[in-house]
Amino acid sequence: MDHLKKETSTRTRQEIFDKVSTILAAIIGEDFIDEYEITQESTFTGDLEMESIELVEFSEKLKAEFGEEIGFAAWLSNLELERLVMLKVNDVLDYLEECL
Amino acid sequence: MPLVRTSAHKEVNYAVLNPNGKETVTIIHGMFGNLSQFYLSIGPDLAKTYKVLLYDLKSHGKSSKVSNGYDLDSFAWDLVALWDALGISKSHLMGFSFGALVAIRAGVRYPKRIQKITAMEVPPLPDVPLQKTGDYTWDHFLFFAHSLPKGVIDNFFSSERKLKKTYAIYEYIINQTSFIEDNNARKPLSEQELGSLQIETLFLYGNQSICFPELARIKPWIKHQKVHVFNGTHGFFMDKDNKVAELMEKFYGGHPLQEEKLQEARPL
Repeated sequence: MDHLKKETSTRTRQEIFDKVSTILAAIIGEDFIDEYEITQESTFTGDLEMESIELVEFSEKLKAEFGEEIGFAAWLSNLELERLVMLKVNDVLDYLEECL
Repeated sequence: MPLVRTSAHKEVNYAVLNPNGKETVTIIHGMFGNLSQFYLSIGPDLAKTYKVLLYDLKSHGKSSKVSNGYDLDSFAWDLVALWDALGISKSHLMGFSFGALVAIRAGVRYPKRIQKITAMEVPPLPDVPLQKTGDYTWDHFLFFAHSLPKGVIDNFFSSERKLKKTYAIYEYIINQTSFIEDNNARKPLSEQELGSLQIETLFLYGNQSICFPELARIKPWIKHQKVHVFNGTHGFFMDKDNKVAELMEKFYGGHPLQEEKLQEARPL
C-alpha cells in the first residue's frame, strides 16, 4: 500500500482527472459516451446523468484505483443530499488531491 | 462492483465496506431500490466499526434478472446463498421496508447464521391485492416515484434516461416475474412469526412514514425486542441528525438503548 501511496502522491490534478474520466467513461458505457462531455465542471447526476448505483460503481472503482484508505464512500455519504445531487467532477478532484 | 454467482440465482451484485471489520453487518434494501440506498447513507458510518455487506436483490440494481422466487422464503434463501458464496458464516442484519420482512424471515429460518437484526420500516400489506399487466403503467410509476423524499425526486426527475432505466426495472419485476403472485400470497407479519423470531431485533420507524401505522399493529407482539421511533418519513435514515448508524452500532455492540415511548403518527 505504501508503494501505491507513493505512486499516487506524485500524480498531478490533470493525471487524476484523466484517470477519473476513464473510470466515468467506462461506467457510462461506450454506447452512450459520445452523448456526454466529461469536464471538470460536469455534474454527476445532471450533466452525466448518473444514477445512484452508478455513483456507487464510481466509488468502488476509485477505491480500486487509489486504495481503500481514500475513504471515498464515507466522504460521499456525508454529503447532504442537495450537495450530492450537485456534485461536480471538480469536487471529487479536490477531495482526491487532499487524500493523495 | 463485483458480481458473485450463488447457488440461489444467477449473479448477485454486491459491495463491501471495511472488509477488515471484525463482525459483518449485511444490509438488505427495499423493493425497487438497490444497494446505493445505504451505500450513500448510513453504510459508511456503520463501516467505521463493522464490515458492511450491501447487495442488490434479484432483478434489482445490477443483479441478474430472475423470473421467479419473490416470496420471503426465497429472498431469505438468496441471502444465505450469498453468504455461502462469500464465505460469511455469521452476520448482523439490517433490512429496510420489504428488506425488513426478508430479514425477519431469515431470522426465523436461519437463526444460526444471524447475530442481531435491525428491522427498519416493516411495511403493512397493500390495501388491495396487486394486479399484473395494465395497472402498472408509466403514470402509476410516476405516482410511486413521487412518494419518495424530495431530494431523491429531484435527482430522479433530472434525467429521462435515469427515469426510464428505473421504470424498466419496475416494469420487468411487475409484469414479467412472479412478484405479483408471490406478494399477493404473502400473509401480514404475524404474532406467530414474531414469536418464533429468537434473534434480538431492533424495530425502527419514522413517525411520518406511510409504514408507521404497521408498528401499532405489531407492537403488542413485540415482547423482548426493542423499538425506536425517529422523526421523519420512510427515508428518515437519510437525515444525518437522526444518527441512525450510531443507534445501530450501540445495538449490535450490546450497549444499552434508551427505550422510547411509542409516538403518535403525524400526517405528512
